Amino acid sequence: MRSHYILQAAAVSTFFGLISLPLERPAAAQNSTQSAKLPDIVQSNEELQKLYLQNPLAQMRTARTSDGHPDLSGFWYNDLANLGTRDANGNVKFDLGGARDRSKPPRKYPEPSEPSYKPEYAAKVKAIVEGQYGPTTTDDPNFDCLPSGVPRASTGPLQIVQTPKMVVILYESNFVGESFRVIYTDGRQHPKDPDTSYLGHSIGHWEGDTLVVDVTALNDETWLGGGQGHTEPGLEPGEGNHQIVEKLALIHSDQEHVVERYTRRGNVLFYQATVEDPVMFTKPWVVTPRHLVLGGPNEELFETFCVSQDKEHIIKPTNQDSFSCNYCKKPSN
Amino acid sequence: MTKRNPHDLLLAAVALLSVAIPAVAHHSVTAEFDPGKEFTVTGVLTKVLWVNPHVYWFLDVRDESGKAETWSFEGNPPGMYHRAGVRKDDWKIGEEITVTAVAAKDGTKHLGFAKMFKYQDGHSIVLKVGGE
Repeated sequence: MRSHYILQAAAVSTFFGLISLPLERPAAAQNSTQSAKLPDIVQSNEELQKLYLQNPLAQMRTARTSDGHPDLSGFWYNDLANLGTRDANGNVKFDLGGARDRSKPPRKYPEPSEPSYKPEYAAKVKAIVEGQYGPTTTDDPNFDCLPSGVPRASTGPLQIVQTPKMVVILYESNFVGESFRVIYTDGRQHPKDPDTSYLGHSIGHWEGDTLVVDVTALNDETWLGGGQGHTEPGLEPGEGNHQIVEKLALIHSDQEHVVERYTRRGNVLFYQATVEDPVMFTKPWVVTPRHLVLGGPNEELFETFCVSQDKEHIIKPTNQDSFSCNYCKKPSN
Repeated sequence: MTKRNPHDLLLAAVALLSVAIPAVAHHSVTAEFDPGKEFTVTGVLTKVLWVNPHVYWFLDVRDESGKAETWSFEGNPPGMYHRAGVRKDDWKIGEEITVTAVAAKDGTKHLGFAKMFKYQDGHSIVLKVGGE
């Protein structure tokens, strides 16, 4: 059997779509016993969000700080523990696709969403993605180990430290180097003439149980997402139920403005964001909800400095979708 | 755990959704490597670079004339390995090790994407990116 290799390029924005939903508390445990059968195809972001809310972890008690707000503090991540095994003889196995039960059809996700670009910027995006090999282009700023920007950074793993006057997010990242943000919750406003930066300037306030964060002063050196949309990680395009959705090169201007919503339900952290860019977009882009789960007491933030070593080896597509390659040339005689 | 209840099932199923997010990486392996060109090489492990976006291993391999050449091998992000219980300490510097990898498409010699490390004592570290 032919090996399948595909690791989507930092496409964390890929299947995040267009709808922002109020995070209603699920009807407690009643759902959890009845909805054990999950749909194989998640048709919409509403359905995705409902699915997230069914997670028993979301129905646990929500920890709160002494001032009554949900306590966002903690290490939040996507649990990857089931990707690795180790036997008594010291053999170690890591399988990135190991979490999926391959006897079942792959679950499909809502279409990835893209901002609605003005024609001149849509053309620019198109030009970039045409230079991609599969989901990969070294035009993606992540190849230079730059911070992922907002909202691309908020996919975990990350550590949140919450105090009454600020919420600090320490990003571990699986792709770029570690970085941090300070979200001021002491009532201050954005600076009048701020310098732009990769992660911008953030001020937050509580609306009920949701921390609403306003982010400005973002530079234009990050992308909102890259790679390509897909319905099933771990498969090559055209194989199995893999569906290429669209190649992504989500550029933005330094007029980007983001409103983020962080909501803790039990031991699940929900993330929603709306991105405005009056220069490049025709309308605000609402990112599909994401979620992270609280790590166990022994999970710790991990050092992840970034050293780019692969950029020079990334190939580009040609007319024949072939490439210069010494190893894979057919023998000439 | 032998006992299973709907909560377990649901948790497992929702965990799949969670996993779908980080099951993305810096780039497609096929944008740099050719899965059809697998090779095996034996040498002495000299260095493990446990960094984003890819872990790198370096091996001193002696050619036919006895001259040592450095080979390097790419892997997944260290955070993914770490959370899966695969640790930097699983590789021992100075030990002889046989690496199975797939070759770089751009023709760079002595570069591969690591699939398996086999130690002299017989134990191995297998790294899969899923699907194979």
